[in-house]
Amino acid sequence: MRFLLPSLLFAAAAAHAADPTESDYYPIQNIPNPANLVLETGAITHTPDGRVFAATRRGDVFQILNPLAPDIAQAKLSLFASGLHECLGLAWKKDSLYVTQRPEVTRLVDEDGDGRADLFETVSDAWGISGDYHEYAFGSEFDRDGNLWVALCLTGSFGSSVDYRGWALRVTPEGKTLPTVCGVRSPGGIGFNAVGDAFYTDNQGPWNGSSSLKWLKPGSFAGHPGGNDWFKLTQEIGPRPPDPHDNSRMVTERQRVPTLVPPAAMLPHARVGQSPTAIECDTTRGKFGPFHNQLFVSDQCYSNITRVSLEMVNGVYQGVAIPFLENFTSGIIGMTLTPDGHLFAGGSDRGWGSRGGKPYNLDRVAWTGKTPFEILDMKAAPDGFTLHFTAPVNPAAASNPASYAMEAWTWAYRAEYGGPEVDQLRPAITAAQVSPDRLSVKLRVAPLTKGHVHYLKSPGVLSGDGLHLLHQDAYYTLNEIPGA
Amino acid sequence: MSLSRLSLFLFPALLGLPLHAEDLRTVTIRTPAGQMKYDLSVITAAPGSQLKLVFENLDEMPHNFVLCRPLPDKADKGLELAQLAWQLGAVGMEKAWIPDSPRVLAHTGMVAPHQQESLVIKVPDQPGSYPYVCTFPGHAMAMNGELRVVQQGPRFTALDYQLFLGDWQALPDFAALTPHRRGPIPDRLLTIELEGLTQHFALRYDATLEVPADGEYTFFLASDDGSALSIDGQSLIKHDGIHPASEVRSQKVALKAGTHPVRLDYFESTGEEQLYLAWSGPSFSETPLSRWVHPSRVPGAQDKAPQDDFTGIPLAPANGEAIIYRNFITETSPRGIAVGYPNGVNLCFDADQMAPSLFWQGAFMDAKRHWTGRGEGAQPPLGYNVLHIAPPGPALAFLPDPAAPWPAKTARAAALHFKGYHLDAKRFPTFRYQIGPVAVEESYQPEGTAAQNNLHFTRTLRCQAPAGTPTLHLRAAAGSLRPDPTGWAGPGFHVAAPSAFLRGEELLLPLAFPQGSATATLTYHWTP
Repeated sequence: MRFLLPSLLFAAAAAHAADPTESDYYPIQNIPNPANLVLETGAITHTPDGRVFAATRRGDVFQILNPLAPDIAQAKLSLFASGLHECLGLAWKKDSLYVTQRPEVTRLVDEDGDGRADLFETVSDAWGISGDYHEYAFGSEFDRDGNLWVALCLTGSFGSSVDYRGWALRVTPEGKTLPTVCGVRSPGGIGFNAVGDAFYTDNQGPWNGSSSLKWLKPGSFAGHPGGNDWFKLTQEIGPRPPDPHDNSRMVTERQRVPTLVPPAAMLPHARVGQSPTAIECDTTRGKFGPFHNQLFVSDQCYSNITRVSLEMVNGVYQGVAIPFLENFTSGIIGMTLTPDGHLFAGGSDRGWGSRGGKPYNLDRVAWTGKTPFEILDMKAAPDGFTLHFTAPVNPAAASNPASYAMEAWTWAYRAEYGGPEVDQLRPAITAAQVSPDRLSVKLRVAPLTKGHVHYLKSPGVLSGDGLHLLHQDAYYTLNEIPGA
Repeated sequence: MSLSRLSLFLFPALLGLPLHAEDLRTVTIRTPAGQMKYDLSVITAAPGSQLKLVFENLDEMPHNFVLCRPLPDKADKGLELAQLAWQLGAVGMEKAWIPDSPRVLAHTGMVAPHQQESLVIKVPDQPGSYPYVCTFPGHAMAMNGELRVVQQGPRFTALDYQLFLGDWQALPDFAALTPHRRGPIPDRLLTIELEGLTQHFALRYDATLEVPADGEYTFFLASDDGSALSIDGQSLIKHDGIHPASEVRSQKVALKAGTHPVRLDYFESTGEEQLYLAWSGPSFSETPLSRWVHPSRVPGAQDKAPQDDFTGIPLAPANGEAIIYRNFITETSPRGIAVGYPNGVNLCFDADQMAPSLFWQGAFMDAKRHWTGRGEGAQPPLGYNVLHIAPPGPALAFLPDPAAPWPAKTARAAALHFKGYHLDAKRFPTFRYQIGPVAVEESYQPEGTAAQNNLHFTRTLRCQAPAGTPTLHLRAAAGSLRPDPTGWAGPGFHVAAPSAFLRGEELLLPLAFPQGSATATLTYHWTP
């Protein structure tokens, strides 16, 4: 039988061989796994002295030996601990590894130095588990004050049958556990931005029209009232907020519910992903490319990473989500970025399918040193947006408003699962002004709509070298209009 | 075709399919841990053939494999023979539980845990169903299966090929071509692997078939690319053109007893190449006439596992170390910590109520429920002799007065704090927790052996408390308990607990703290 399809594909690929792709800048390499260990990665962390650990949904913790070796074939896996219950958080502090597993945060210590943990010390188990598989616990690294944050999935999608399901807690260095944020639905990961504020990802579902990246502002309400009965157990963050009205809008309910903090960046469902997970801030000062202080957010379903650049306007975070890197071989759940610029990412497709197609993965991404032509960030202005680019633009193309197009919408804020995109608008781009250094463009946009995602497409923008943007789509969540 | 050629060629070998009665076939049958089953419920063989059987015992107890003649009047699954073995009584062990019976056709010895044994079986000439069974007393009800002896038809009595080279999109006019090579195929099974060619060739096979009796016969043909079959010069199946071998076409034909000429034409353009031809008749089941067996076609019945749930993810201790499995475990709070010890005893510690919830023997845990899909629900132990030494609830309590009822549940946040565990050199855990002012370290030593029938746990609690802490009580066991000279006998277990006392159905052991520390040592034996 003849192979017709592959030869056609080859011809198609050959025609565009000159166009750069993501892998020209950020190639994905698989950590060797000759023993076929089941690496259903749930969390990854690194230590100050360059060790890397990965924990799995099956409850194993592996140390990656030689994790930073230039030749990835030198990397090896060594079992550090096993017998844990669905590991979804890893952190390191003073010779101890902290695992967030379903029932607790546990400190693991290799006391006898044989490469395997001997001490499994419960640090906090101050939340309930009822036996429902959905009751996941995602753990963070340590914040600047030494707290470890835990985000607790609801019991199922709607309710909270045991203590603090649907909350985010902080475990202090003294071992106290402080209820910190309510309104969590189905988290996928927790991380911190460059100034140390905590964020988590929440998945599309009830009261979440789309998945998003949310700020864990202490004392705030993240939007899903299903866990708010647990205010009866704590005065830590004040009184129970009023429940939001069903079938409303986030901007409307923010008026009624003062502690409701809107998502910092919507991750539009079925556009950039479908199940966001880990959050990793690039603090490598250029070792991982031009995106210093920006956030990388992985997605389990789409097996990809989206880049988020935030700014604070009128006291709330907001910003832009731009596709960054796709084609991981399984659904990413855990990530860590080492100071020398190695991003480790891994995950699993168990229970929730992923585009990658493999049951699990553990990969390493390094920057090749070539700078992709990208929108570096997008900032809101009273009358539009300012784009910054990673390389000078072709001024003729970038100053032509027809090089861009914009749509805007929001999602119904409702108790029903997910939400349609609603209140669609087509804002007009009336002017595009290129800066003298050709590294930024000021777009004049009307109307700007508070609470809407403003989706910018830039197909006509070219670099000085004549390249198209590696990613032409940018989704800006306009919670607040500056100066308004 | 995109399927790997290698895997398709290996397929019949992997399944151990009977390619022909003349071949010695190897079948491996296993006893997975803790399931009291064979992993094959049906094995197929040709009458009069030789079958090499490899018996692997993956379980924690001994098993055997005994092949029996069927009873003349009923299918008994070998249970009557197993009953004879049971009646051997004390001498049964010496005889490896093999009764003196003409029904025994072949058998292994008693195969110890994690051992294996092979035997070569002369398959009976008479087609039929021959039960096999484990005759170790008590096993046969679950551990049985069936050797299905299925008649195979004859293969060609002569087979010659002509090989042609060329690039065709359909079967060529062979008569107009000159063969590149020609000759006999000694094993008389069709094969396209003649010169290692993988593209641009065609074959014409001429064969003779000895039809055993007048009757209706069915031919089965699949090929990649095109092929055409004719018998006695009459076209029977034609599947020309370029296509994969996924479709098996069949056609019935009435044939007289005696010799019939068969012609098969075949060509391969590019890509994958396969050829499958088989026949069946009134006295035999589908029998391949080609060396390659189509993956969807299995002559006779296939060796098969009894059910899908057989392929679990059994966890077992290794290297003399304990194994830990934290998950949702039956009759335990969601904070279950199961521990499998290397000598075949296991327990589950409830890190919510700080109590042992289950003891059991044999295989540890099957992780399939939690490690496939989303992991819903609670999993029971994989082994047997599961003991509940007490109902769910805390093992330790401060009783306000001697008659106060034992608490059904203690609120964790208020009075119970789990502190984790420490693993020793054999990775045996010592659990650490706090009840009120009392810090407890609780550990279990698995002792005894299955062979000596004296498996037991020694349970030790070491408590530290401020001097003057009121007396704490340990509920050592609960249920129907009878005192005996060494302790108390409960349902399926015996507990020795010095200084314990019976309060109704509860065996309580006081822990007093005049000096600030207290230790309790208890032993739990399984009893018949």
